[in-house]
Amino acid sequence: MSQNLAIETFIDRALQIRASEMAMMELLKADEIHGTLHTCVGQELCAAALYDHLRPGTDAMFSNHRCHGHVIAHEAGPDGLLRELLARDGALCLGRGGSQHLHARRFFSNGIQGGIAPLGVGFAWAQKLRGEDALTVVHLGDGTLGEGAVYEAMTFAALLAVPLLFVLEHNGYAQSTETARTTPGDLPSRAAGFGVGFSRIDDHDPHALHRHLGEVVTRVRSGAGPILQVIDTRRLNPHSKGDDTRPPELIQQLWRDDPLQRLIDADDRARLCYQAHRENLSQRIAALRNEPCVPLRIDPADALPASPDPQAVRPAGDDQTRIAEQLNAALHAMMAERDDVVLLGEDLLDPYGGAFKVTRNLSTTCPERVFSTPIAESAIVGTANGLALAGLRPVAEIMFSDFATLAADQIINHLAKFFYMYGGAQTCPAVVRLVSGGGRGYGPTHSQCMESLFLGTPGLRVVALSRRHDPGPLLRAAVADDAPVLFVEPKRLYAQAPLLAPPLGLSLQPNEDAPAYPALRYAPADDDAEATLVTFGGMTDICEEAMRTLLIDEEISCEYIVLTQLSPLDVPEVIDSVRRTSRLVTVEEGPAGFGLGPGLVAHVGEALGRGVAARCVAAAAVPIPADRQLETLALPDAQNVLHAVEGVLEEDP
Amino acid sequence: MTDAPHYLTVPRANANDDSLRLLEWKVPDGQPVRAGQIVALLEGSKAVFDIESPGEGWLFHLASERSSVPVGKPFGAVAPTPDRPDSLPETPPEQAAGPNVTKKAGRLIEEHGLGLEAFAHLPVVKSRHVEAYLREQAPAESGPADAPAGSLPEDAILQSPEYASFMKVVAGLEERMRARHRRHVPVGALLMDRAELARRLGAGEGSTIYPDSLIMGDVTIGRQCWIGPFTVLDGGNAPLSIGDYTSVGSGSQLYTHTTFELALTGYKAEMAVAETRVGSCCFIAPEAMIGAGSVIGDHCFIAPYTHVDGTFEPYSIIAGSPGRVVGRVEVVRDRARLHYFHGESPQD
Repeated sequence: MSQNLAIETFIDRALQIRASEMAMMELLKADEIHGTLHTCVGQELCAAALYDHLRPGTDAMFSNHRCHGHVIAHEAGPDGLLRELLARDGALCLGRGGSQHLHARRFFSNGIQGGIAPLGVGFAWAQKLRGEDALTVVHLGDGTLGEGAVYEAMTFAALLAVPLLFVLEHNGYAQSTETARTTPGDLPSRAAGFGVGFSRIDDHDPHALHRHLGEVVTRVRSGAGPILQVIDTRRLNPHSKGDDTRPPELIQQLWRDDPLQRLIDADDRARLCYQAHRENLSQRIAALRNEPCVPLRIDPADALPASPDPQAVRPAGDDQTRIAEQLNAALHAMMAERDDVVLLGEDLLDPYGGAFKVTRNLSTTCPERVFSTPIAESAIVGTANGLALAGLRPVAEIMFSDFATLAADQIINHLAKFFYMYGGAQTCPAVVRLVSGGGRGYGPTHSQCMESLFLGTPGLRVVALSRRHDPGPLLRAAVADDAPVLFVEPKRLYAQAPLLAPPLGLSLQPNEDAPAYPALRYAPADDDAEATLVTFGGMTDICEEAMRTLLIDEEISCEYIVLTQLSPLDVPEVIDSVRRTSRLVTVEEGPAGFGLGPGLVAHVGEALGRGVAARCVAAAAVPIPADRQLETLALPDAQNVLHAVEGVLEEDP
Repeated sequence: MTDAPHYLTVPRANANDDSLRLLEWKVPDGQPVRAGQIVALLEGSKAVFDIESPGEGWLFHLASERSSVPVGKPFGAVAPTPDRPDSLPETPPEQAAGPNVTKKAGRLIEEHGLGLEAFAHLPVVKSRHVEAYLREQAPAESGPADAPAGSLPEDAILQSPEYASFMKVVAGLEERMRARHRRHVPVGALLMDRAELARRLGAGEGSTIYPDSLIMGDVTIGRQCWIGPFTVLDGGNAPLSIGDYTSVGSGSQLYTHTTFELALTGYKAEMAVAETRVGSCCFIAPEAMIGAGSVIGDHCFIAPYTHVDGTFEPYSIIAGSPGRVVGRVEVVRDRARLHYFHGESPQD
């Protein structure tokens, strides 16, 4: 390296990143940082050279566990990151994210390998829809090449022709495993196979790297479509703390080969810059130690953004068209009213218009905002999340809720976590519609009620439609909600109309102190209810049939509560009712064992602090069989409900 | 030409729709229609269906526009005359007007000969509403109307002289039965002669019926029949007829109705009812069951434990469950022989 090399901004940034990583490793060793770090020592030039061409706040960046370099380059310094790691005032994510889960303006990182890639597609699509002069970067490592979400993202990016740059920092190792052992074939073919452009360079010549990345960024920005940029680099530190099993001589060789270290060794100005950064960091850290802590408070209410207007939840109105049509009409109205509603899902394209016709004619009226996707549930939800992060209101359809398992990582580790994990500043207002439940003979993989798998996931709202609800306003409430919403649509409802008249002998009760999505509560006129019957979704018909029989044959009346929000559990109506009746029967279509019912019984019992006679009616704990008779036997029916109510009435709680 | 109307039923459109919406009647109620003319539009979740008239006649609506009609159920009819056939339900077929009444309340209302008008304001009439009403209506009345006078407590009955003298009669009849017939029979059979019972029930000359039989409704029994003990002769829903010289073995049951579908569907199906006929000179062995609608020709032999369901030629040997023809009866003057088929049952 020549002595007269001017220290350019991006090289200075790379030196600052290295100085920061060294300082943070010292803090980790001194146990001042809780947990672990994944430092990018050896890879700093990749971030520094790339971010010199990006526009933070306009361009979006999606990063991974090894994100320090990216966030320091993005924020033009390590201050926010240091505050996060030391949980001091001004921390990027209030100390909730730590090293791997960072957020600043349009920068997002997460600790799930490859999981964040589809989010980049969604964000880039939002940029394209809004005509922004902007692009999105998705950071990958070579260890991420085994993750399917990456390839789903590439497929989506190519189909949508979005301004998306995949930047793969190839350091040769997936944690402890050489990537040669995990990555067959060749990288250009992988990109080409998905219709994604490909480019590769190493970082030995920082200026050539800087120049090259500038050209690639310009190409993506000018509408060339998605490109996979591979940068061959090295990792000098262990994967995280002390877990380096690579031969010492290899590590020594990597240090000798490191362009940044060679610069520091050979160039006085680089060395002085580096030392200045180290000195500066020591002072900053010393000062930070005396600054106030982030708020030390754990409150489950922080996991979700403020609730929407409860008035949006209404009992069924006098519209007697089928529920599928009412949902369709609500989507049409929303897409006409606001330009931020975007639909995505499988087979949405007209004339098919979605497997259950809820999205009929929408791809015709709003072709640019309806994405009829490949069969790739993970990317459907991930892309929706990216759109939501960009401020749009995506509505994703999971054609059969059974397929939600394929998107479970996106729902649980991305959609549900971001609001809290990023410090409450970033909402993910995505709606994921789950077409749920049985009764149609579709068999074990197309008939399940999957909501119980997601109940209790912090940060996620689960809402269920029933024949007792006004479908359109409920879907509108979910779309208007700043929280991510799983919207459960029992498919047996689609061909039915909402129920207008209240159940026999019952009338709808006003809901005071209503939570976000109040339940619908019905009580007998003469206030002689002997038990509380709680249900949701597709089970209203059997509950009401059972209640009718109980009333006519045995003069037994129940209070009847149809839940709207299933999770988080917020059911003052149920607690109040059971306080009066001391008897609780829950009815759900999902499998017995660990569903909503048992959770509700425990919750109500805890709240009341006394015994409650309870029964939980649910499907048999078997996969839903296909045969008509077998399916009927497996799913709950009115007789089960009737016996459960009789059962609690025999008890003396 | 038949007077029966052709019903328009709701077709199954797809797996999802258990009911379709009646979008529009294309022909008004009571108007003439041609065969193949489109008379109604039904809407499913995925398509709209044209419904054609199955023949020429007059169209009658059984459901109103925009209502939901279940698959397989009639929503209209085409009748051969311009007058609405009496057999058609009203349009639309709605539930009976008036309040819903619990069973217990219904019994009270019936017992006291009340009308429903007094309860019309209630969404559901419960027994305590009726009780309250009765108290209101007769506040000043006194007397023993509620408690039947002279009723004896349970133990008192057993101590009473009436019981003692009754038991004396029973003991005497038992002794007589043992002496004459060397048998013990249920008390009912002591009290009533089998021939006397047959006469009272209008059976033909020479027939006898054990008093322990359950005999309901319209049962016709010919001459010289023997109806054994513990039999069930059900003519309660349709006529049951038994020819002359036929024996109905102990414990055999002959029905004109079945509720199996009612039970299996949780009372969604309706009770099936059909006339049952047993010919003359039949031998029904003990514990056979003759299902509703069965027709058994003369001279049939029905083996024990057989479940007969269907129509059987004269001179059949019927056995098994379900009952099949397993052989032929041969009657030659004063002798009868049973010829069983070999191997697989060669029915007919």
